[in-house]
Amino acid sequence: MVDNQMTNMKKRDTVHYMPSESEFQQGLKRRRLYGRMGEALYYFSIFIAILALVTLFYTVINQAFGAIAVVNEVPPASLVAEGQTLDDLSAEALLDIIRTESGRPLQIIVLDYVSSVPRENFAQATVTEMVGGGTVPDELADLIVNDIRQMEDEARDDAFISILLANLDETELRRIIDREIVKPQIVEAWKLSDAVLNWAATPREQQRLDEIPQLVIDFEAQITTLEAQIADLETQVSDLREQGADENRAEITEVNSQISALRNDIEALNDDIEALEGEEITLVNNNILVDVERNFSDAEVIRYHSWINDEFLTVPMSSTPADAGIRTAILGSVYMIMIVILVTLPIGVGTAIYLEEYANSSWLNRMIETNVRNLAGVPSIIYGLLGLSIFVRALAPLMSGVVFGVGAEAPTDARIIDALADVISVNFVLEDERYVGIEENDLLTSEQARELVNTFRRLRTPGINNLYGEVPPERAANAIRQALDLSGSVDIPVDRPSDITENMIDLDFSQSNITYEQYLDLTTTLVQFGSFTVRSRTLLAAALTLSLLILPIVIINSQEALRAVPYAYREASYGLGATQWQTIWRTVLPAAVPGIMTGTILAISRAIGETAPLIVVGASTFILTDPSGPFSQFTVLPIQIFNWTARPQGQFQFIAAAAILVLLTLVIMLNAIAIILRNRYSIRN
Amino acid sequence: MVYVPEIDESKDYAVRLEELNVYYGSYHAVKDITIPIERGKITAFIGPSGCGKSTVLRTINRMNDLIPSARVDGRVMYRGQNLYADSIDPVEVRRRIGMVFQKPNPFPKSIYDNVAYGARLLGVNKKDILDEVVEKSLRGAALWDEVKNDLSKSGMALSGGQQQRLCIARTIAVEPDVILMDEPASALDPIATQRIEQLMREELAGYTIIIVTHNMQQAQRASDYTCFYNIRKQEESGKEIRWGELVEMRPTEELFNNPNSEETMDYISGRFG
Repeated sequence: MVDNQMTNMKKRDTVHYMPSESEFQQGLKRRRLYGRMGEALYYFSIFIAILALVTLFYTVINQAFGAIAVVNEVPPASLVAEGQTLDDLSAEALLDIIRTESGRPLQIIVLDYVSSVPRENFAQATVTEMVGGGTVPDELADLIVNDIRQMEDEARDDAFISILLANLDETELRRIIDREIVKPQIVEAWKLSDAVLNWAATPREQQRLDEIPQLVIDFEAQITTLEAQIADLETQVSDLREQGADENRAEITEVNSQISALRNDIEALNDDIEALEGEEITLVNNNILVDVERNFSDAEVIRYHSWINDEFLTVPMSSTPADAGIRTAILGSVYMIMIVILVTLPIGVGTAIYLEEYANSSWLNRMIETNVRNLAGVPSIIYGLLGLSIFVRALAPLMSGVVFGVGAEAPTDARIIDALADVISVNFVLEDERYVGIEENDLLTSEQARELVNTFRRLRTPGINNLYGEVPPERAANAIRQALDLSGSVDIPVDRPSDITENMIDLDFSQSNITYEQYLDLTTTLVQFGSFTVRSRTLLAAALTLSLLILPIVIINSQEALRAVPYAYREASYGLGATQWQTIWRTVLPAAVPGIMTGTILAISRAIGETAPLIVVGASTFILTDPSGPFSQFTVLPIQIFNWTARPQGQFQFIAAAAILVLLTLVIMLNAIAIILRNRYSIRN
Repeated sequence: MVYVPEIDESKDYAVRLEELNVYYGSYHAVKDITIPIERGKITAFIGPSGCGKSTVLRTINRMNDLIPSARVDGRVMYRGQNLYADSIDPVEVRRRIGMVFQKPNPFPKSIYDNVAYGARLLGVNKKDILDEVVEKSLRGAALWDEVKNDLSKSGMALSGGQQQRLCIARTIAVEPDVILMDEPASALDPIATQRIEQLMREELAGYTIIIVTHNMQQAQRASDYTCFYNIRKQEESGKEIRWGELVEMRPTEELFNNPNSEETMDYISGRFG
């Protein structure tokens, strides 16, 4: 027994479970190797990330800046005396140029650049009203604009010139000359990399460019010579044939082979010419100055042009890339983000506080929490559809501001019938505020009347197939055509919300009692009614949709931040006699603010860049007016970028890149502000 | 057999625990605690880990209410009222019976805001009154001289001992009757511990203090009465069930010199625990 114990003890002393020294050394090497592999992977991913970032910035910056070729409709030099520029001229001299050279009447220039009243009120406004807060020349003080318009040509122009002189300085006048007379047009644009690397031809390239035409001429001359030789030889062959094909067989073969050799030479020369021409094209394309000289000889070329400039930032959309700006989009984005912050922060943080601090773990609360987590992963386009059906459709009166007395009213049957009765003299019958039929008349059958009313009623529910909300004139004209069962066709350009002209409509009114004028009036009325549906696709509807999209992220992040607050703080607060709300408000929330901020910043950055849901909710791609409040139509930067990148014209790519830079700057700025706020908060704590 | 002093009607009791039972869910953690705590005296709770002394301490100012599964039976009598009666608001209780925790837990706020926190909770917002409260409380916690020049410094920036004294200042700022201390010195070095004990004896003299400690010398040095708790075990359908019980409560000197119970003897002489 004792022996047994002894052997056991001995055994225990000699058996080692830990590795021996050499094994340990090897093992240590292996353990360190894993660490180094992890480190290598880390550096590799950092490298890939930096590469991606550099590529992004290279692509964007490469397109946002670059060379342009500008053609002026009227060269500025031709407007001034020799040796002068526009910068040297006085206001009076500049106005003289505007008076004599401007293609548009002076009153239009006053309307565009001075007037502060809407276009339709322009004629009836007094001069004082018209200039708003501007200066009024004494002799015009008592007049209305129409009085000036009635004057003799000379006196009228003098009056308008004096208004311009009183209200605009030289810089503004020069801008008017630039826009109205010089009218610069960007005919070609190049990327920044081309502007840097392919600006002018090197001496060798220039030499080559100079000699290529001569070489081509030389080669062509050689070809002509060779063709002459071939003609000679062919004459020889035919001579030999005449003399006797059989006897001269050897000779004929000989000459024929000479001919084919010459033909090969010609072919080779043609190939050479082709190669030279190809080389020339490449050289031209690779050298901006050469390109401009050859293809845009009257253009002025600017090597470093920034597509982001004050004009780009301060003017609204345009269908020509050079005139297009992003003011409406920037304002739209900024307003939208403000609304999103106002909505998500209180609701998101409030929900997080409820879930984290108040909710017990009942199945209902657990289900809410699980759903919030799942909602964070739902694709954004689905939120777009949600926003469309909830905000744009179901809550249309709220989103359009109608219930707050803003915007148009919904097309009720009574309003529809009022409008229809204005256009056609038919008595529509209304019962319980619903349309029931018409009294007998010569104009409309009851069938047609019902169709007409139904066409208007359809506007109450903006449809998913009607993404832009409004009723374009073309659609309105066709809807009325169908309702009245007119034969023929209507052809109004879809993207131009211009007035309908006679040649766009080719309908047969002979079978109908409705006249062309009545038809047009009905169409216009429908377009006006259509603006109701546009109004529910507002900034507010879009901002609420984006708020829904990021709410789950804000909630989850806020919950994490609240959870990270040490229990000891709560305990200390309760221990001093704080109520639950006092504890949350005075201790837990302040301690969680940095975390909540970080999560919210991330979520809001996502909202700034969101495009898909806004397309569904109905952001406008072409809008000229600034958003004026939550109930206005809007566009945002990503929508604008998306729209431009989809255009075939090359110059849109450049302004898209410029807009991307602006968007990135906006995001970085917002993040910086939030980070600064957060850091200040943590330091104070 | 539990040895507890007889209730002496001529004495003034701050708090009286009567037949207190604490449950966590279905687990019966502490059984039948009856302790009279004399006003103005320091009472120490000692005992091995898991004997329920902290649990009992936390029932006194209803901190256990924060644990959803906790349930209390029996009475905590304070000023003639049972603190567990339905009409009693725990918020009111905690303002009267303050608490200092094991780990110093100042708020991530300035020293001033830490001390003024409780006063502000009660709606005291006048600057001059708050200034006075802060100074008085910091002096009461023997911290004033060390921090009077940087009251706007974060409470987190102080040393551990200073943080604990800040917590004490924060507690006495709301003028409580009773201060509960849950191992207030266990995270501190011996010198800081000594400061806390000195504080309890001198600056806090007059307060009713109940202190939980693992350190028997501390109990011996600082307290007037000592309660010794122990763990009881029982086999029940194959599972071992444990709970805490009070073994004896006596004036500190008597308990350490002449304990009534064998168990107490074993514990204070270091035979277990």
